[in-house]
Amino acid sequence: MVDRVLNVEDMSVKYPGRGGLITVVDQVSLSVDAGKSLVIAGESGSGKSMICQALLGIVPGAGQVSGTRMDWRGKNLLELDEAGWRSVRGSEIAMVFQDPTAALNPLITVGSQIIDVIRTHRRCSRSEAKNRAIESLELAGFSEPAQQLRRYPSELSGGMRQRVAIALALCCEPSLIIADEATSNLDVSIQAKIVTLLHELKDKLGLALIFVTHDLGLASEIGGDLLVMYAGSMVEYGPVQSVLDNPSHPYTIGLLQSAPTLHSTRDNPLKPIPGQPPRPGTIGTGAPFVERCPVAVQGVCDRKRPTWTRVGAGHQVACHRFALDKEGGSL
Amino acid sequence: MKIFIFQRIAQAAIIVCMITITVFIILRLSAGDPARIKAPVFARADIIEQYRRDFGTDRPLVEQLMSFVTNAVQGNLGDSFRYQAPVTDLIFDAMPKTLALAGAALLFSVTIAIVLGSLAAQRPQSIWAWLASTVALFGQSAPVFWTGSILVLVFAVGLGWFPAGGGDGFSSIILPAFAVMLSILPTQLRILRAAMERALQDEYIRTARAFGVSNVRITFVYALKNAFLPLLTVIGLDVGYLLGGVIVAEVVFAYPGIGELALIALNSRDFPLIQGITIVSASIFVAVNLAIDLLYTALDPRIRLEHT
Amino acid sequence: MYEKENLPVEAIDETRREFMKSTLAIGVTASAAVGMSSVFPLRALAQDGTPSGSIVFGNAEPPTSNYWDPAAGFGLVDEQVASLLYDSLLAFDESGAVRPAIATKWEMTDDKTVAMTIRTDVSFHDGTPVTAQDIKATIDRLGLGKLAQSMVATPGITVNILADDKIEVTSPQVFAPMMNALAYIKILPKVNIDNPDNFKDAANGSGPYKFASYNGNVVTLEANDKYWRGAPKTKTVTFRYIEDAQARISALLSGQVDILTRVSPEDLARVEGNDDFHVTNVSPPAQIIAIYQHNGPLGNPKLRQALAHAIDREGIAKNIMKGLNKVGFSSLPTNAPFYEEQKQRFDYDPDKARALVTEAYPNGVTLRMSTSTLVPNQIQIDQIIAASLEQIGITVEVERLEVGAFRSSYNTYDINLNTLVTFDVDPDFILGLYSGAAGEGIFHFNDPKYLELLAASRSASPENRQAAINAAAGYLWDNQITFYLSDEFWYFIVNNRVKDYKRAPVLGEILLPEAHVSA
Repeated sequence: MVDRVLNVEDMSVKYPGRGGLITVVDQVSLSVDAGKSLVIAGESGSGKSMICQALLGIVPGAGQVSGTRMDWRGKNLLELDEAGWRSVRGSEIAMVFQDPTAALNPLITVGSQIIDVIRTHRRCSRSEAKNRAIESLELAGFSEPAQQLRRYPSELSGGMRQRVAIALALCCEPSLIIADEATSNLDVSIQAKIVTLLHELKDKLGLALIFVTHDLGLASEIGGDLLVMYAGSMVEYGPVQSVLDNPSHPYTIGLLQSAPTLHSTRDNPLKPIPGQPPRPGTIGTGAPFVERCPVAVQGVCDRKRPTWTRVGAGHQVACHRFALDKEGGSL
Repeated sequence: MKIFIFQRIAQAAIIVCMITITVFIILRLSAGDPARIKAPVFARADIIEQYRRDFGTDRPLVEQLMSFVTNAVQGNLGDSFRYQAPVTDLIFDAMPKTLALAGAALLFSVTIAIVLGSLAAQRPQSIWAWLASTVALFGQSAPVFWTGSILVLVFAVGLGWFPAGGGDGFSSIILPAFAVMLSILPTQLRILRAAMERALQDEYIRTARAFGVSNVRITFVYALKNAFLPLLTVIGLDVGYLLGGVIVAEVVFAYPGIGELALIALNSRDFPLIQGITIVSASIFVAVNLAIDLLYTALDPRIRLEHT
Repeated sequence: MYEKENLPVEAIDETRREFMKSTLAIGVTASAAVGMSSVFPLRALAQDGTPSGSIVFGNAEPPTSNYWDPAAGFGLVDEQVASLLYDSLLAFDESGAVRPAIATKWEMTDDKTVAMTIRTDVSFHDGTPVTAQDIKATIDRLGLGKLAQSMVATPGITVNILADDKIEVTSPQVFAPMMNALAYIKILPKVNIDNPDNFKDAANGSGPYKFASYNGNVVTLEANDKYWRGAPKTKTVTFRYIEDAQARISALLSGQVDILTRVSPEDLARVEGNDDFHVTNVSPPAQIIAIYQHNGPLGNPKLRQALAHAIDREGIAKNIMKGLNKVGFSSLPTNAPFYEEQKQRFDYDPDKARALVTEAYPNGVTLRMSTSTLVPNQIQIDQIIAASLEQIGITVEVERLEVGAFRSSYNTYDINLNTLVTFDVDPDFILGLYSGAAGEGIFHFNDPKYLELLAASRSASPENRQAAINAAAGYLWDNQITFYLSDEFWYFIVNNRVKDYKRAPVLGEILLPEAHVSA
């Protein structure tokens, strides 16, 4: 039986700007099941981090989150007040940030930071919280967890810091962990270990996992579903393998070709996508990717937002080409 | 770590020694004869000469310096010319009062800086932010003698809530401490507010929020711990200012502390007393700054790492 | 001869209102005008017989030391404290005349000797009786001339003990102010004189008040219930030093201090029209002078006379001193005994002054002047003096010094302001300053003719003394030995809760035992 922990429909994040609201995340719909994972991929500025923050109610500044529904295990996140949000954050949904050096408080010991979060959410003594912290550190892969408690983040290596961040995320036994570029700042070898760790934890603890990355290469290692974001909009969504085997959106294809893999050789060089993604608020009425799209159709793609088209089992793409193909080519 | 502390103490001792000898020499070279100042204009020359003999100021400078150093090393700072009492007694009577006043001022100031600065940083549009700017501007522009006089007129002369001056008990500390506080608060407030604004934008604050930690705890524990470090530096500098700055408050409020004692000592060219006050004040200043350095390393593990 | 009455505040000059305005410029002082005399309303509960309540004095200067030998000090506070802790053989009354104290009867047996009958029922605070031995030790020590207050006595003055209650005070030379000196000299225990270190611990006298405590800047005295004249009416007397002028007046207005001593015109303006306070100006004979050094250009009498005509003394007294100080026409303060106006008036006359300068120094002359903040409004007054001298063709180099430096070096400048005060009321004290080592040290002045006049005044019989003193004082005035600017009256502001507060024309507070406080 599928336990759908998170179900989001048409979630948008908007900021007040000079000429009204500026849309940063545009009508994103996604869902995650317990024990499953969702990879969100895209360039920086594509809105993937904003989605994560919206899911925790911590969008910075004056950002406004709206949507049709944001169901979290029977709660409607859209209706939570500050106290309601606080009981969700860290306790039910936990987050692992991109830069563990910045994300951990440099002046507070690892132990205190974890224990503080535990005691924010769980009524327990300090020693109980300490035991729980040790367990979390152990789960996060420390062989001598108790010894880490009294250390400061500055005394740890980058990989260890990220394990601490993961332990922090695990300490209150959440149902969903959001890893926001959690491996991007790490060496490749450590990156792999962290990905493996997250993958294992997901299976072992029955966690739902949202894994945000700009590196599509990692998506296959995580598995589950893949959501490709471009300029605040969803462009392709489907099972990881299906999307990677059969990339349909020109942006997904471009992203795959620009990513370094074991297959990149001199004969098969990297092809970066020309141009820059549009800044929020400058997207016209057409497809968001139209200006950089090698196969854009004049008069169509620059006029109208593409709708979703099914290209495989649970695999959808938001691109006019597929809509045109299906409808036989007349607009 | 131990070597570090030892080095700092040795440095401090050298600094205090140099200050002491400099003060000794400057005093002797400056205009003003303690014997003539002690006696009125009509005093006979032989009485003035007797004072000089009593004070030892008739002896050659080198001899005076040697005996001063010899005694000082043994902890004997000599007898005050003016009070004819041991300098150490006079200083240990007055110093606790000054430390209480300076301490109270510092406590008031740091507390207000933290609370108001944090609130202002957290809510830049609120009344707190406005209040913080106003207090900083007012304190910056109002000298201690002026605020002191106003406080006396309003709260002592007008309302009669506090004594107008003197050093009897806790109530006599409130007004001078408040006046001194107003002079050190602006810098502390601005530094803490700016540091707090920076700290609140740091990612670990976002982490704390993402883990459900309450805003109050985020502000006053997570962010404050980081924002406090720049404030600590300011406090170290303030201690130096306070040792001098309380003089004005002590005079305006007739508060019998070390500042007033120093002023009397200077006016009467009471060399041993001035030297004693200089040594003790310099030692306190150096000690407090050493303590702050150590506190720094205790509060910020990153600094500790660089030393080991 | 002395101003005895307590002046009502309203009587003080109208011109001081301007001062009030400028003093109040801070802006919040509306509250200050409200009399706040009752911050500590329960301090005094007067009952009959036993001393009660407390009186707090606010002084602009601290005690000079905690060495409780009154003969070793000069300061105001030392004198205030000593006047209450100790007795003298004689005492001053409100007019400055002497009255009996430890000595009940006295008689001049010749012009150098006074025979006295002394009380035998007087005790020091520690219970030991005051004996003829103590009196002898006290006076003989001053006669040796090594102490600050030896200046009040005469060299070689000594006591012969005739019986337990009979003594004889003798001076080797005729000493006209003998009675005033005996009213001034405080009787100390012989044991302390023999062991001067005893003075470091506490004061042991036989006066109406006992020493209670000394703490930095505050001296506290307690009533001596067993005082031979009867216990004083007020239980506690405190002398507080408050350095800052603003703090002093605030302490008075807020009721922390009952009597503010030696106040400024600005302070007087602050209590003007305030029914909670009154003002007294019974003060020791004191004057503000500009000290001349006779080893420079001012050794020339023509130049000194020129200065006398060049400076508008009345103008300074009216505009800067706000009319609080009288301008006299002799070398003595107007409130000194034997003061008499001289015939020469040296009226303000710049033209005459200019002519005298040209006569004395045809090629011009330069005077070096130092100024500081020792004398009230000194810098303002010195500016006027300097400008006046420039106007009659004298070049003036003014140097501004810090008070300590000023006091240390005043006699290396041709001219500078200072104050002279009489300790024992008698003008001989002031006249003596122009002779011998003092004259040399203060003025670089040594004039055989004056020494003759001074000697004559000292050996004059009581009935001839007025004329003899006037001759000596007149000589100083006519030759303008120094510049006699004005008197320096001491104004005290007194909270009306203090009743029957009176002063004698001395530094101390010998009449304080009569004062009492209301609730």
